[in-house]
Amino acid sequence: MDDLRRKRSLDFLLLLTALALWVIGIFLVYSATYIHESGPLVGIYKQQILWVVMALLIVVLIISIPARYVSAAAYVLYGLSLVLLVLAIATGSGVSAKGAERWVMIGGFKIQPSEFAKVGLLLALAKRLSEKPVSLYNLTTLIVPVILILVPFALVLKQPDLGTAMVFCVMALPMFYWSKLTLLDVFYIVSPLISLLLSAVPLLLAFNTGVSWGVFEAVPWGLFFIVVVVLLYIFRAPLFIWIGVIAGNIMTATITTVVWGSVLKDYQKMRITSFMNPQSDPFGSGYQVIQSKVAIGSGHIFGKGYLQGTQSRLSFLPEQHTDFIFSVLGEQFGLIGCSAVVLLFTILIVRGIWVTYNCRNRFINLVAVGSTAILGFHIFVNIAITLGMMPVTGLPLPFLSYGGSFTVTVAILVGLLLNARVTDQDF
Amino acid sequence: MAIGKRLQDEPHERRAKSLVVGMVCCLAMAVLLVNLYRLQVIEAEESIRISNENSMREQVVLPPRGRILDRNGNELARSRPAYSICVLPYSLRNREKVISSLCKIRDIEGNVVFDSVTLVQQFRRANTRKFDLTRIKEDVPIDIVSIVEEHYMELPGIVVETESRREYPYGAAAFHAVGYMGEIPESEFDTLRNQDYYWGDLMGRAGLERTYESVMRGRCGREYLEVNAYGKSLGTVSNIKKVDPVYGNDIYTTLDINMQLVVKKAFPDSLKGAVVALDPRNGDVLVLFSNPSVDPNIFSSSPSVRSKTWAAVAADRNLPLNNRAIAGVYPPGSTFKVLSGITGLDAGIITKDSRMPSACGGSFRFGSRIAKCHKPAPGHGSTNYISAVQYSCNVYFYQLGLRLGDARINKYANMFSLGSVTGIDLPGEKAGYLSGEKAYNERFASRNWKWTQGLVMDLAIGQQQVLTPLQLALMVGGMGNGKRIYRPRLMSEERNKDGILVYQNLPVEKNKIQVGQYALDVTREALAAVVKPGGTGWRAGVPGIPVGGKTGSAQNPHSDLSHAMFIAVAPVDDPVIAVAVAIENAGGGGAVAAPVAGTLLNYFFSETEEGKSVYKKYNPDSDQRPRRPQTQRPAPSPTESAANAAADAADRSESAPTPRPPAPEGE
Repeated sequence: MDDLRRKRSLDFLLLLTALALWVIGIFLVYSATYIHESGPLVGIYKQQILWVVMALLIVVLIISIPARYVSAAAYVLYGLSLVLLVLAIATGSGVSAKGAERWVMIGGFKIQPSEFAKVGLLLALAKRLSEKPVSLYNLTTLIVPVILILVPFALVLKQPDLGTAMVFCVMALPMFYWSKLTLLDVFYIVSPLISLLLSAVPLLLAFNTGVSWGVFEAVPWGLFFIVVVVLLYIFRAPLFIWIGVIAGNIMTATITTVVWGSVLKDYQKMRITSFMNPQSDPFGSGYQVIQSKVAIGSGHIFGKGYLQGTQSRLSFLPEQHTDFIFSVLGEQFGLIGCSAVVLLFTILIVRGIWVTYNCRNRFINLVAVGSTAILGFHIFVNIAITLGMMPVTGLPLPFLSYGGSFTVTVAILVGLLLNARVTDQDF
Repeated sequence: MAIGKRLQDEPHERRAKSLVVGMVCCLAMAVLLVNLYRLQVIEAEESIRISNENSMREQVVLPPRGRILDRNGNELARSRPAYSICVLPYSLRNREKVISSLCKIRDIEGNVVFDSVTLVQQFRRANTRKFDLTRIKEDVPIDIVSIVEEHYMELPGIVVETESRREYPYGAAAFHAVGYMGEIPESEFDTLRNQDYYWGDLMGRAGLERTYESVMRGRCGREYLEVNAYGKSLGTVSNIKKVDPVYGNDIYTTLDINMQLVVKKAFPDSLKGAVVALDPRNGDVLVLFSNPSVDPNIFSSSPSVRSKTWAAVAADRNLPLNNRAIAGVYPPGSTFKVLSGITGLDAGIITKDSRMPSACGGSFRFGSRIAKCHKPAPGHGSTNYISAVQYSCNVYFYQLGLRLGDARINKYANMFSLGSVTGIDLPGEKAGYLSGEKAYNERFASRNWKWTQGLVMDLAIGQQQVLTPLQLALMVGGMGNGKRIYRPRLMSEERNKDGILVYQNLPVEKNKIQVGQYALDVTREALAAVVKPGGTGWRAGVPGIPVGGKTGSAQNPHSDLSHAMFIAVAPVDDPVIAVAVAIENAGGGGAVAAPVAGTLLNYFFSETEEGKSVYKKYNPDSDQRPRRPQTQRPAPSPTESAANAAADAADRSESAPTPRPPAPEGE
């Protein structure tokens, strides 16, 4: 119980890692855009420097706020972020970038409400879950958290911003886990999703290769379904869990097959599978992926050297300063540089989770887990996209991608993680 | 509120969960690392290759084509830089947007440069060769080029290419000698593609452009350009060695463009024909003119203009592309009489004062055939050789021809380089046809016509053969020179772009003239007599210079009007210039063709350095410049005028009126 009162020191490793990544980000943004002599991308790195400075201030600010105030203000902040989201949709997006209603002008700043919604939801969920743990066996405990998630989820989907919507769900999962769920419970929740993947993968492969699998398309999902049933039986799941899980799995698998078979048009299927075989549409949906893979691959082991990347320098990479910044890194610094950055990210995530290892405060625990989940998900998905492992969804890479709102959000998350270390946990 | 409520109660469970989540995260990162390794190490080669291809474009650098200059250094053909706007379909992202952007471009006068319908078609066609540049606008003015260059960000896939275009400052005047440029014909592309030619390249298609194509073209260089995703070139790739282009060499010709212009001015515009002037001392061709002509500049304009004008030119019934100086074959008519004469003189059959047994009474009876002289009864009467040439008496030469026979005349014709290609450095030269027993029987075997003795009479007065103006100029030059005939040449020197001599085209002896001095002297005297007042060629005279010449009015089956022929050589005893003029269906040689030669000779002796020094030699006392041609010439004295009038009358129909069978003509 003595660690309860001990004033903890700041986690310098976490802070330095974050700082290093931000600095790398500035250099990469410069490298990605310096070639432009005119247009909106000129001098964008200066802007990024400003954002990073602002991010550091935010980190300091958040560290200095006692966690209990954060906890107290959680619902207010959540409400505020929802207001921003509604505003973005209501103003019909004053500023329309890429046709999506993602921006809101406030005090001359162009901000992305969906970024702040991540923080708002994180705090609200943490607050709620710290007070009332959820349990699969008492469904009423799930009502409030699910509503908390669904409101911003729906608003973000309307934008439409699938990536952020996914972030909300992914962030919630480990937080639920922390809030009294067991690993098995998490598996029950996730199983329909796995069903969806397993039933879709044979379809995607068959479409992509042009060879129909026939009855065997059902094999991967069938095996998984048997595993689910066996687990339910072994762990003596209550009847409603049995019904829920089995129904959920069958439904998602069926819907997937039906939607793929009769709803989606060929061009839509093509778009979905283009990440698997970008060459099928080299100038359309596959273009970014091809160029990104070429950029990263051509970096080889040591890279082409800073500012020497032809793919990025010659504008072959679209959105190279935002969502595809990792390919700039890959091209110019090669496997060495990429591994180093992935290592830094890993340190960051592990340190984030490490907070929960020693911290006893439920709220802080949940905030730390949620923050880490947001960062980790962004990092993994973004890099996986640039490597051509996933369909393009449009998530920026924390610390490295250019962008004000996102940098600020990341700063808030880092601040919250650091705050957990220094703050007085007794509240 | 109890603190415990807010704290995680079960530290073991919490820490286990931390480990689980931490491990999941590490696993995810490990997956990323494995994929990175796969992409950057195992599959790197492919990516490196694509990356290089992405960013580089091989650029063929066509060196500027060599110039063609005349003997005084005037540029007859040169290259100027020009810009083309091309599309590279590979880097074209948003076709509609690019098209609409291009359509917004306006030139200085505010006219739209591109129209969307054509662009759509061009883009579609270009799409078949995705990685090649396709021209969408050629020869674009520099201000439009700069607009396009400035907006390259909005025009991905649109590239400006620099190229050089051929320019002919003197246009139609020297067209047939210089030639023109055109796209490689499909039939030749297969062999030329191995010699650095690319589809759509321009090459010399006629004239000197064609003959010296390989000299002037140079060799293509290659460089690798770094291009960005918009297709804009950012300079050369430094680590790949570029192959420098080898510049084409300049061709210095023997032509004198000013003389050429004088001829063009003097030549009747509406008539077809040719003029050749050359230097008998070395074969230098000074003038090579053919009418009608074409402005070769149209062939290097943009393809739309080119195809339009090309169609018009190709369909022209006057065949303006035909170089009549070397490929137009005409019956030489009376100009051939001097050759018959020199044959007779050298064979000892006639002398200067020889008269023919049968005096000219306006006609000559041979067997059942009555061959007429152009002067109706009472005819020329009994004349000596000089007068026979001067007045161009047919009857005299009928009898001379009969005595000589076709073989002997043709032996001398060959010696004076008639009846075979001269070897001038131009494509498409014709050999002509000398006739004679053997050749005639062969030629008309299908019509079953047989050579008869009577045809020798036609042969002797030049109504059997067909010859090119160039051959006639060589012949008359050879008679003046008396020793040898040089192969005619247009190229004298080849110099590289720095002006350093690379190759010198030395005079080559073509025929040795083995004719006795007496025959030469008499021939020259006869030639001079023609140009003297009272001779049929008086209009070609140059005061102070002994000009020799011979008129001809060659009858031909195509028209009632005879071809006007005239050959001249000056000064007749030591010539520096020989001229042949042929004008189709124009009438008498003395009235129509001789003035053209006269204008040229007067210009030559009064304006050119060469001519002036020769004039000085012949008129050592005269300090003043030789008099200007024609206009300044003093009116002929009354006696001269009368004589000239008589000569003109003779000139109108000096040939045999019944040419049978019709003299074969090439064109």
